[in-house]
Amino acid sequence: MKSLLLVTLIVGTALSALAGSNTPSQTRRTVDGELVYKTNCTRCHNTPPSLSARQSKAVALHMRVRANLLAEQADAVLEYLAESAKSKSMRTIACLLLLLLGSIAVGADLPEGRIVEIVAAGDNTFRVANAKSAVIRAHSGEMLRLRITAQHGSELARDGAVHSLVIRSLRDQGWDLRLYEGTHDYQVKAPADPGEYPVECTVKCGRGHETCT
Amino acid sequence: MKFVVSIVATVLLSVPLFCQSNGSTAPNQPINETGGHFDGVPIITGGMALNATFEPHSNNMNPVFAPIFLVPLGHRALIESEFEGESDITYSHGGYEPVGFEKNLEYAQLDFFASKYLTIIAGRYAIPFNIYKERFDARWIRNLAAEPMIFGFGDSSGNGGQLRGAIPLGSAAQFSYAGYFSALTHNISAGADRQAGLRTGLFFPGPRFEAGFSFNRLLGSDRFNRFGADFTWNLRQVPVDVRGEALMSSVFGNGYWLESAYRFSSSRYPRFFRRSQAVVRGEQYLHPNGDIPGDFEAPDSDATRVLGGWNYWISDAVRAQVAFGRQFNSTDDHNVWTLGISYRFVK
Repeated sequence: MKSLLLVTLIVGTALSALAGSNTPSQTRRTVDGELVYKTNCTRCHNTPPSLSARQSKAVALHMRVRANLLAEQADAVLEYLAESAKSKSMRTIACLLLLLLGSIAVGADLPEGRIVEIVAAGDNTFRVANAKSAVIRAHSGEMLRLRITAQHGSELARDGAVHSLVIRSLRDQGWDLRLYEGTHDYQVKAPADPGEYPVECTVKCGRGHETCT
Repeated sequence: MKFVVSIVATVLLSVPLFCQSNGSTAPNQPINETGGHFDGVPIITGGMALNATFEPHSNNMNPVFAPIFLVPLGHRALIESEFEGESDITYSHGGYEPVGFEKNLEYAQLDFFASKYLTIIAGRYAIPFNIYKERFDARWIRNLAAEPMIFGFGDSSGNGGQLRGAIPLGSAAQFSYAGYFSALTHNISAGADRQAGLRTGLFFPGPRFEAGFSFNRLLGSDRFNRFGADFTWNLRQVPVDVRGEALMSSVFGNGYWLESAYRFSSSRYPRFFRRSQAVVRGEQYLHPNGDIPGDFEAPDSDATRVLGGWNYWISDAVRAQVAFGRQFNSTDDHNVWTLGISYRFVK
């Protein structure tokens, strides 16, 4: 009994000491909710149904206990789920996918990148020229020049954007494009990690596709 | 009694220390500081399932209903509860056995988020021994309808208190812990043994690998220890999950299971297959020399089992499962078929 008491006291004190050793910068570091979600939540289960932000809060608190998430991780997941719920309700144009095939050396002779023609159509669908499906196939690190023709759907954003082209996990790498009516070129770089990157439109542009399947 | 007093004392000693941990910042970061600036609402979630098992001398059908109630209390507390009701319809040796209905309160607990790294739990909770019970037991989550053979020894709840949480060890690893004490309770739906134990784990977010160690000691009329080890590994390059558990006990026996699942999620597969998952599990149980005290669902002799299964998500909420395997006992070898369908809901 004494040994159990001793172990309990040691564990409690050690945890307290560890907790106290974190600097404010560590405790306040920015946490990527999507990354936390994919690293922790999908270890056990598939994507839960779309919930409202307030419902997501109950789930985030539950999972903080169940999955041993840190407070900031639970907060970040909540923020991600809340944002996803919001964007899902707004998303009406979402059937575009960036598919990275592998790795190539990007030569200096391709400064402007390969041109990919895309139509963000008035019926709220993405179409890729010379492709059967709405998939942009690119190599890791490849420079791309997206020539996007955006057509007005039934609604547009306050800044006049008729659609947008967003890859959430790559927002900081320029994959966050506001699309205005007409044809415009955008230069972006495919990310280094091979994989599938779903593209979303976050502009409430009217009735259309709800999911990308 | 001394033990309970010591736990309470430790909690009281630890909490103020945690509360000082953020230096110049506020003592505790409320959950809405970086999350949403809104209150949560109560929800009902959970799942229901219908599983069927076919063995040479008996066929069994097992409907299960397991709702979970989540009631957030501001940003610092949560009441959560899971009830599980299930029935067994067994056809054996030419006739039906009496149909029973079993109802259990899996947990009904108050979680208080004392700090970033500490959650204090009071009430009835699932015993955190290994990982299957807490993470994979839900019918809509488990990869195979049949639970591992050693699961019966970890499928229990406790009534008392628990401290748990996680602590980052740099950016490459995360330490998690759960320590608990349960009092003896005589109740047909919410009974518990007098016991204490802990589980600690190390999670490496980079490779998505977690390894855990569990210890439990029964403190009632039967006093003995059991040890557990578990791991999960979710590969990043391919959609493969590997997980396993081990049990070591001189009274319950020894055993392990190892499971791997592959999700056909790549776009190179036809669309139908992208909702599929192939699963394989190998497991072994070594029965102890003496009788096992209590009533546990486990083989009554040494057993080895191999199962292979196929899961198909009809929708995100509905999943169909089929599995085939062979069990090798010291007295009887036989095939096992399982069929299952599960539904997950959130309201």
